[in-house]
Amino acid sequence: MSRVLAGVELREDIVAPPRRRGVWHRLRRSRPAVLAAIFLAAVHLLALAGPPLLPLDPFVTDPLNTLQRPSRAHLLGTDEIGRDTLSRLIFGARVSLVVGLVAMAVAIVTGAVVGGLAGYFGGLVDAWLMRFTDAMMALPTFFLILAVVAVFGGGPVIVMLVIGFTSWMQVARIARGEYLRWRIAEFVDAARAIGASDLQIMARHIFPQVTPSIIVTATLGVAFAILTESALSYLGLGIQPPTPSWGNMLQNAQQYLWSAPHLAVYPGAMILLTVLSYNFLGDGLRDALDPSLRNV
Amino acid sequence: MTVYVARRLVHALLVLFVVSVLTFSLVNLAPGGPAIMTTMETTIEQQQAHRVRLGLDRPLYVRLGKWLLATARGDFGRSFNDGRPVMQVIGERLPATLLLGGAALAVSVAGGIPAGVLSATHRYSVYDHSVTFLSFIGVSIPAFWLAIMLILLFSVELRWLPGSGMATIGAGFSLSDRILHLVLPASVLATTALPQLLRFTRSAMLEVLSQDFVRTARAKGLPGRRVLYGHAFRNSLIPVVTIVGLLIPRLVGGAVITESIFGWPGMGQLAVSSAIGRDFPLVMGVTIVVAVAVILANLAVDLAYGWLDPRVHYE
Repeated sequence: MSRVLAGVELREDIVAPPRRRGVWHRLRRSRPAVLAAIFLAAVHLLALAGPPLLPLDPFVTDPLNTLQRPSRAHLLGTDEIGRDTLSRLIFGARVSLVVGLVAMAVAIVTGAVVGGLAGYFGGLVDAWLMRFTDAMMALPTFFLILAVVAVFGGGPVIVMLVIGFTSWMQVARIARGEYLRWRIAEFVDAARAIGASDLQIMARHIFPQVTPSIIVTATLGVAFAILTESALSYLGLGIQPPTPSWGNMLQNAQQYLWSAPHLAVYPGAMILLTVLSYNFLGDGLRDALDPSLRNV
Repeated sequence: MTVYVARRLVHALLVLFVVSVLTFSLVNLAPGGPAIMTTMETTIEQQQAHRVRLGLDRPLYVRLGKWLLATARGDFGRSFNDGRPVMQVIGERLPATLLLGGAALAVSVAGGIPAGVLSATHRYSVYDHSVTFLSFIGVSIPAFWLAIMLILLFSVELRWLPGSGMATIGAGFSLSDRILHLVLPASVLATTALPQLLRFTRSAMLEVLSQDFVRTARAKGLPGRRVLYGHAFRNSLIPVVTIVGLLIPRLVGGAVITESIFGWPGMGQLAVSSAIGRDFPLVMGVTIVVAVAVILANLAVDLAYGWLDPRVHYE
């Protein structure tokens, strides 16, 4: 923030990028965030390395052993057509996490571009882009997502894109604020003086300053994207069978609540724990990146 | 005040314009072109004739203009499914969603705001920590999973509450029956909104409590309760009202899941069934009408905001 003193604008507090040392140190002090990070690391590692190591093929059916309770042969039991639940859960982790992460990446890029243009150029560009952002924020986006999926069908690519394109607004608002703040900094003046173009200044000079504040929103955004994907897939409009995702595994489980309650418990618990961890991590990161918000 | 109201009205119209353009683009980007919106006819000649009949050979901006006019009139064509006008189908479903959404919003406000205030005044207490933890679970739990678990517990196991529909089949309308049917879906829908409202109230309250005028009120010897409720709470309500406005679209979006699971005959269920059945006119109509409902609710929130905070009049 710049201050005005006796008509002279003081910009001493925006001359240099802030040092973000000690972020990890502060993050480590938050126990929920640390536990969340460990859990997430384990889940992602399993999703990444797991499928080739799976004990059983997640797609192979076994009509003689359907709806089995957990046993030694099937550690978490089998589903209604005899597929191994543990293998499907691990394979489903890959699908759900990839959809969540890519959707978030789409949201970040869209939000950073919209917010960056608005904040950097200001004026009419800012007014119109932010009005559009506000309008998008005021929409019940899940209905919009349904409309898109109805027209283009489900499937991973559509699901990732549509979730990303309906959840970038928060990022845009944050990016706008940061660009507005940094565009008058001295290092930006310096960059312009040596002939850097607007695009270069926006991408190479200002963007690094914006990343810390976007990281928090990004972390929370993954949580939201995973939840949205699971809801869509549960409704039968997202990831299509036989590809397992945590959401569509629950779709069939509902019919067998009595004979095989474990089918409903495991995928739901995985979604809950993963989303919870992303939320805890995001919250911890917010405290660590901006200690001034700690008590708020 | 007039300027403020006028500005909010312009914003509401802009949101409507955006949603209308978005649905228009969707229809035009649909594989097979916009003609499939209104016909199931399949041969190329039939489709060509149909395109001309619908004016699809006209330039894009003419069609966009016509679409915007149709939106303004609430004319979304006829449902593929039963051929009835889209608005008629929607008219039957909208009240159910308004009831469900209203109930969930009431639960969130009535529960979230007092719990948040308590959390702020007893910061770092056991209560505060457990409420914070529960809030995290609330925003992280998949609504459809929670719903299944609650149906299992309260409808199947304990048989306390009905787990499906709006009324007992065969029985006439009675208020107590309606409320009983409302309990589970409204609770599930409130599960995501209530914690957000709670956390926001908590931080708004903490912020106000740290301000000078609160310290002054304390210093001049006002009783603690009057400082809390007369000074701090009233001022913390101002940002809380804004967050209510932001929660309404999410609440309505959440109705899609909740209604599908509880067999609640509202807009959310309609959106899912029409999306699965590719009933495009109905999908687009539902999307726009729901957006309009949210816009109106937000307009009400904005006006409440202007009334609560006299400062906005001078902006």
